[in-house]
Parts: sequence; structure tokens; C-alpha cells
Amino acid sequence: MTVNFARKATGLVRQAGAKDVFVYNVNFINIAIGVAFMFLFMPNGSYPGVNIYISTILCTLFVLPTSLVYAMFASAMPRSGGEYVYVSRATKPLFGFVASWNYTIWCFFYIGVPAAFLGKYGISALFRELGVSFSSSSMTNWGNWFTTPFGTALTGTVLIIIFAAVFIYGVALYMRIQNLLFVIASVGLAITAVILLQHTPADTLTAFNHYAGTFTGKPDTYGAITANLGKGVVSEAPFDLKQTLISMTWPFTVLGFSIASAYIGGEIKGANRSQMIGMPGSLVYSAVWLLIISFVTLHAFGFVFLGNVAAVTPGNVNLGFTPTFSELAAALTHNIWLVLIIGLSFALWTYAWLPIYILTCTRNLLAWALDGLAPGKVAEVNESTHSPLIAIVVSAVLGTGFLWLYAYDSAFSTISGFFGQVCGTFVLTSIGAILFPYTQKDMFEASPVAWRIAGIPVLSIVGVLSLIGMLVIAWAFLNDPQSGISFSNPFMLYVNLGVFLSGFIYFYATKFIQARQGVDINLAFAEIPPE
Amino acid sequence: MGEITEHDVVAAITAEGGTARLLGGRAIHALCGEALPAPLRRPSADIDLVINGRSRKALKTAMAALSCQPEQEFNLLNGKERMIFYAGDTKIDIFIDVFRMCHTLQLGNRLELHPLTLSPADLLLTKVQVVRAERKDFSDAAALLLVCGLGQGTQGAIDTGYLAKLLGSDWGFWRTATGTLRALGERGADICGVELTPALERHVNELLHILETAPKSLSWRARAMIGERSPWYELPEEPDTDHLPNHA
Repeated sequence: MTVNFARKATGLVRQAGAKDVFVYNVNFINIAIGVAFMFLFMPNGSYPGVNIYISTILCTLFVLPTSLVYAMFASAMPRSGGEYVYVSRATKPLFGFVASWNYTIWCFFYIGVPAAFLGKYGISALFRELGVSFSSSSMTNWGNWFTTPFGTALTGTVLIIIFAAVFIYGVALYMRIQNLLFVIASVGLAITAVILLQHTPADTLTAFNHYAGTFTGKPDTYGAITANLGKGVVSEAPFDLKQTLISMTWPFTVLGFSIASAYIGGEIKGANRSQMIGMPGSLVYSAVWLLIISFVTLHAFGFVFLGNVAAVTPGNVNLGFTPTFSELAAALTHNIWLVLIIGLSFALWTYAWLPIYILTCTRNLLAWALDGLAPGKVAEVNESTHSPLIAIVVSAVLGTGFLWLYAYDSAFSTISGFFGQVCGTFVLTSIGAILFPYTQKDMFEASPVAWRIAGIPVLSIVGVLSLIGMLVIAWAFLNDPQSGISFSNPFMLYVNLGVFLSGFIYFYATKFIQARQGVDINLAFAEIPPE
Repeated sequence: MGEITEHDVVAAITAEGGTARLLGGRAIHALCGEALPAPLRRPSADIDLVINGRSRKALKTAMAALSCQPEQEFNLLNGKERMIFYAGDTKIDIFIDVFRMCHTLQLGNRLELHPLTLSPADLLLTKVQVVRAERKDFSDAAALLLVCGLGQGTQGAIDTGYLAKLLGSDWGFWRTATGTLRALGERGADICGVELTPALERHVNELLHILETAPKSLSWRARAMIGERSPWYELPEEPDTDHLPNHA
């Protein structure tokens, strides 16, 4: 017999409320990592004429419809599994699975990436900041160790194990930890902003040279940077719209992902309100923060300084690794407590993607397993932990594998996987949103988002806008010299294509195997029969 | 095999070495028996149970033996505290150690107080903890008060000492329970008929007096100072999922 989720339930107190969902999505966007990426890559001369503010605002406008699509779908179908549920019901099970497969495979990869970020960007900078404050070269060297492949991978592995253990205990525990750390991280970010606001390039250059000189051995480190760059030194160019549009890939790496709570839709209280606030709300909130931190960083250091620091190969001037905006802010104060708060809070942002990717992968695996598209064992509750242990362990092990790959193979140190998620998943979901009100009329009409403008379903309208927005973002990736995606060097393009197409192969292979065992997996996608 | 009853389910779990007790409408019927006044009799579609954490394995074996189907996704996501099975069209809703609705009741150590159902006091708490109580909640609470009566200890009556102690340490629960009891008192004639109303009002007023005058903990007093300015209850969702896709 097939039974339906929570039908006739006498009531259920779900684990995550509106506040949890909002924080969850802001963490998945990751404000601090977003700003760090933007200043590590946008002013370094790759985009002459780029305007960071306009790029951020345009990116927000292009991704907002996708955020709304996911929020409206999550309201209409409050189930765990994200686009797997949405697209399979709006179009065909095959496309739902492929969209989900594509997103999930990259999610496995991106479990590893933020795990690496903790060592690479977080702990390394914290140690170097403290090393300078305490005049301790050994602490600075420790900081450098965390940026080595082994240091990065080992730190990340420990972090993955910790979060896997938290999820084995339960989502409610994670939400409590998340909310506490978010407050600390946000307070630290606000303090960083205030410090940056109090300075201008007139005094920050001296402060930077004093700070960096202690470990580079060069009293005029910035002078050494510009000398090393030679003709490649960054200069300000007149505004260029095309370059500004292409550079959207960097704000997109964070703003494009306000949708994390879609994958835990079945565990959210008041799905309609929580998801509508949690997704687009977190996007707008984070975009404002990105603009504020960008403003104070540019105010303090100036575009050219930030560009040159980002452009230089750090080893050429004994920098070890490129300082982020957070470390530059720490260089402006001699107060050890402020240094500690800035460094620690930034470290708390660095890995924020990690637990959310683990949970996303886990929930998608469960959704597949329940529909017969993954081994049933994956969806079993462990007798000892009373949690889906196998799904969590599979996610953690695959994530750890990708962490070590990322740490040791620079080919994967790109944002190219996001391109795959845009083209293979978000585009399909946008198409699903356009079609859903027509292919699933009853489900749409019964949903809390059965809104219309001039007789046209709002979901379809937003779906069209989302499709346009995602195509523009895909164009930016293909033209961005730093995205890792290009026709001239197509390796990662082929990897993206391979991941996407493998979803079709997996689906048909599983369908074939299940059919030989007398199981018709299409039945799993049927609508709930009328009572 | 005919329709599975609540007695079959409890017996099957017990036979496997587990401990299970009834709650909900079927528990009220089982506890009150023929003494249940006619106006308070109502049909109860679901079988609601509480088991302790040690009985998980027994539950699983018993459900398999009774050919009950698990609600897989629900059990996966909520199985730590809650599971749902189906015996044909009958839903079996199982709470594990904890009853978490508008308020939370720890029940794991209180299952031995009665052989088939939760104790009358715990059953009453599951009814008066409802913030937006429905007729069936009032009806079941009235049945417990009229049939079991109020008393001390665990000898078949509603243990007022336990209620006073529990609610005296949790302002939110106290606030909801006393509110629901007052509403019950006001709706007495509608719920149980004119004849039984005086008895019901007497029980309600006596219980309210006990709860009002019982000693209160420091945390109760601290929370009381905040009062209703801050939410004091959860609102469990009654998922209207008929329009949703199947996932199992």
C-alpha cells in the first residue's frame, strides 16, 4: 500500500521556524565569503571598468525571480527535496530527477569546498592576525600551514565529521548552533564594517605596510606588490557595462543561493510564510550587507589598492596568501580583542555552506530513495541513532573525498560548478515554474500561491523572469575569464555537461533495474488519490 | 484478518517486549468504558499511542506482524519522537517518549501508571494543552473530569498533585491549561448537556483553584513577568496535504 505524507496527522510541531529558515538561507548565501570573493577577484584587473555596486545590484535583480520561484514552489509543495519534487510534478519525473541529480552532485563537491575554506581563509587569517598582534612568527607560520593542501584538507575533514555528528543527533540541534554562531558572526561583521568606515586610504596604506611588513620582511610591502606587478598594476578604468555584467559571477556565487531551505521544506513550520520570508528576504538582506561591506572596504582602501593586493601572486612578495577584506580590517587596529572578534567572526562565516550542503545532499538522497531512485538502505532509520545515518554518512564521505580533491587539484579550485547548477538545475526549475499552473492545475489552485495577474499565474510570470535571469548569469559565466568555464579551455565545461547528462543515464538505468524487479517507479510520482 | 483495534496494537507491542499506552479518543473510551456519558461519546478514527524509547524495536516488529505500513518520509524526518503507520485506512500515530504539540509532555517514565492508557492526569494534559481547542478536546477533557474525578496519587483519579507540580513549573503550559479549563467550564452545557453541567463546573472550578494556588517555581514566576507579550506555545500544523504530491 502506498501511503501519504502526514495525511490525517493530528498535528506536528516542525523543527525549523521562520527565523531558523532566514538564518539558514543567509548562512548559505554567506555574506562574508561573498565580499571576500568579490574583492579577491573583481578589482584585480580582470574586469576593466567594473563597478562593484552595480554588479551586485544587477545580480540581485537577476537572481530574485529564481529565489521567488523556489519560495513559491516550497509554499505549494512543502516537501523535502527541492526541485526534485517541484520539477518532477510540474514536468516529468525524469527532468525532476536530472535537475536534482545535477544540483546534488555539485553539492557533494561543495561540501568539500567550504570545508577547505575554514583553513584556507578562516583559521589561516586568524592565526596571522594574532601572530602579528603578538609578534609571534610561529603563529603566522601556523596560519600559512592551514593554507597548505594538507592543512586545508585535514581541517575540513574534522569539520565535516563534526557536522555529520550534529545532523545524526538532529536538525533541531543544528538550528540552535547555527543561530548562536550567526549572531557572533554578524556582530563581528558589523564591527569590521565600523572599523573600515573610520579609515581612508590616507592612513590605511601605512597601517597595511606596518602589518604586512612583520611577516613579509618588506617595510613597504605595498610598494613591493606594485613593483612585482610591473605593467600589470591595476588602474581605474571608465565604467564598462559589459565587464560589470560579466563580473556578476562573483556576487552570484553567494546571492544565487538563497534557496537552501527548499531542500528541507518538509521540516519547516508554516512553510508558506517561512519560505516566502526566508528565501527572497534573505537574498535582499544579504545583498544590502554586501553593498555596505563593499562600500566601507572601498572607502578604507580604495579600488586600486584592493586590486593590486588581489592581483599579485602572494608568494612573490612573501605574503603567503592574499589577505581578505576582513584581514585588512584587522590590520587597522591594535586592539587584540577587536582583532580576535574580526578574525573569529570571519572564520565562522567561512564554512557556513558546509552543513547546509550536507543537509541538502542528505534530504535529496532520502527523496530519491523513497521514490525508488536510490537504494532503499539510504532511507533507513538507524536503530541506534534514530536518524537517516546512511544518507548522512554517504554525504559526509563523498564530501570529504571532494574536499581532498579540491585541496590538491587546482583544476577544481573554481566556481565552475555553479555554472552547472544554473544551467542544469535552475533553468529546469524555472521552466517547471512556468508550466506548473497548467500541468498541475488542481495542485496549483489548492496551493497558497495561486495568485494571478491579468489572469496569468504569478508563478509562471516569475518563472519566465527566472529563466531570463539564469540565462544572463550563464552568459556571464561563459564570458568571465576567471569562472573556469570557457569554450577555449573547455575541461570544466565538459565536466559540467558530464554531470548533467549522467543524470539521464542514472535515471534510465535505475528505471530498467527496478522494472526487472517488478517495480514501476512512475507510480511514486502519482498524485495523491482522492479520499 | 478484521480491522485492527487499539487493543491489538498495544498487545502486539507488549508481546514483543515493548511498552505502549493509548492516548486520544480511543484512550478515553478505553479508560471510561460504560461510564462514559452518552453526550461525550464520539467516534475516533486514529489509534494514538505513546511508547518509550526502549520499545522502538518491539514497535517495528509488531507493526510488521500486523502488516501495518510505515509512512516512510514522515518517519525518516521525525522518527526520533514520532512515527506514523497505517493499518488499512486506520492511521496509527505513535509518540516516542515525548508528546510535543502546543506544549511538551515527557511521558517516557509515566507509562507504567496504567495498564492500557496513559494515566488520567496525563490524558487530561494532552487535552488542556491545546491552544485552539476543538469540541472533541473539550468533550474528552469533560469525560475525564466526570468519570475519573479529581484525587491525589494514581488510583484511577486525575492526580491533582502531579498536575499542580508540573504546571507550577511551566508558566506557558499553565497559562494554556487554565485557559482551556475556563473555556470548558463556560461551554459545559453545550459539551455535556444540562444535566452534567453542575458536576463538570464543580470539577473544573476545583481544579482551577488547585492550579491557581499551587506553589510556583522561580522559572514560572520569571516567565509570568513576561506574560503574553511573548508567545508561550507552539502551534502544531495540521497539514492539509491532499493537494500535495505523493512521496512514498
